[in-house]
Amino acid sequence: MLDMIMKIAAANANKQYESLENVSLNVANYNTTGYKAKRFEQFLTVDDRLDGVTRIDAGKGDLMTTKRELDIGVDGFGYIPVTQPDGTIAYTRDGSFTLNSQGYIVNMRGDIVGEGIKVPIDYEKFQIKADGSVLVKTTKQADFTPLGKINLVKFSVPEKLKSIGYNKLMPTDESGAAAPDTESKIKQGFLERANVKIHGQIEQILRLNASLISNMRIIKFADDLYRQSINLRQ
Amino acid sequence: MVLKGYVYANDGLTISMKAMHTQMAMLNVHTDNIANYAVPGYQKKEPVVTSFAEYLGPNAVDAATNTDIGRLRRTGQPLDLSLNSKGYFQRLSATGGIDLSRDGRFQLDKDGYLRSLDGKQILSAAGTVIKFPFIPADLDKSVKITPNGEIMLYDRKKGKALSVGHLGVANEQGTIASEIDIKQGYVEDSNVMLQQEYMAIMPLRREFEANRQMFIIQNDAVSRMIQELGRA
Repeated sequence: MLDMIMKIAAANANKQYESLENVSLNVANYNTTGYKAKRFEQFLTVDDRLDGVTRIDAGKGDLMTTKRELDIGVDGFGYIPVTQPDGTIAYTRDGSFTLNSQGYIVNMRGDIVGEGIKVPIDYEKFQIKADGSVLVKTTKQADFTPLGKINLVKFSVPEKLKSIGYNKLMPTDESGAAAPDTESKIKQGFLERANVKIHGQIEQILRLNASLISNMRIIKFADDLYRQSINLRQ
Repeated sequence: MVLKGYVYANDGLTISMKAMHTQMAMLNVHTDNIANYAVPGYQKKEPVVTSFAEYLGPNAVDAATNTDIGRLRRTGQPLDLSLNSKGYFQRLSATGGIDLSRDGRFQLDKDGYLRSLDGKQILSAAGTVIKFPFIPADLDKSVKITPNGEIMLYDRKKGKALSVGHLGVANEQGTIASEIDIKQGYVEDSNVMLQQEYMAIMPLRREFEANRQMFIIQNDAVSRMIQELGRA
């Protein structure tokens, strides 16, 4: 019976460490563009065992103005497709872009944005419209000419997207396939901040700390009973 | 001459031993509570000792569920629901049966089914699974759940709200509860209070020590008696 008590308490202490891992990820990424907060949810399984699952809060982060013309923020629930070097398409909310040596719009990892939008070397003005079309004018007098379009996509269950690092996400069976998103708008000169609610993280740390300490105490307590039972002769 | 007799001290030792086991069983109930302190919707259990505990030992310990409502904590998530009244959400278990839980943290899968965190489908008051006709991107603006459990979904294209279903809340007997109060955007923390658990554990520990002491005294008495008899 005592070993059961110890097992339960130790398993729970481990779960609290897992929870702490998610909180520290959230706090560490408080200033990461487009980061989506993680929520660690604990629940009981059918056989009353404690289990936990990491969920992603797919809600919007605040848009922060940067005035940089290659920064885009997504106002809505859309995702920006990027083509990785191996040809597969990943999705991101991090719209901090730059140009590569060939003039293509790329993200910080060098993945090509959309299907490849090539920007001429010397241009006068560069514009990305709300619907994602990219326009450029080469001289002051010239009209804007379209270069291409960033087509936003959306997913049925965005919280089930799999993170593959570097702020990129991949669809899974549970998230559903990418579908064109016509409702979200692109805002040039903005970046999306992480949607981490920092005060909530503190509250969570307090809770998990209380839970952790009390489980450790229970282990100590069971240990005392063990010792006394073993030394029953004196 | 033949001496006949025996030393009768077995009862007391057994009772002390059983009492120690009983205290461990009670501790087990408190451990469960402390382990599940951070689980939303968990209802604490209280150890109850029935009569004849001195013979039944740990089998005399029963865990009674405390149905007090835990503190509601705001999360702002549209599919986090909490029950501000007694009762349970009904979920379809993997085997096809219905299980009850106060854990109202729900999610939508890609087909529009409302599911619990461990993937069980949520049942409506009519006993059918709840399915959204479509999944809105902005859940927080499009999904409203009334206190009596009706799920309203705003259809932006048509410009009107439609009812997806009525959440079924059952009471302990398994029948549909009539007076319910559901709060959207809140989760109910477990009703465990850590300080109470430790206050309950403290006497348990002393009782355990007392029984241990009783066992030692009786054990000493028996061994001394056997020694004296041997000497005579």
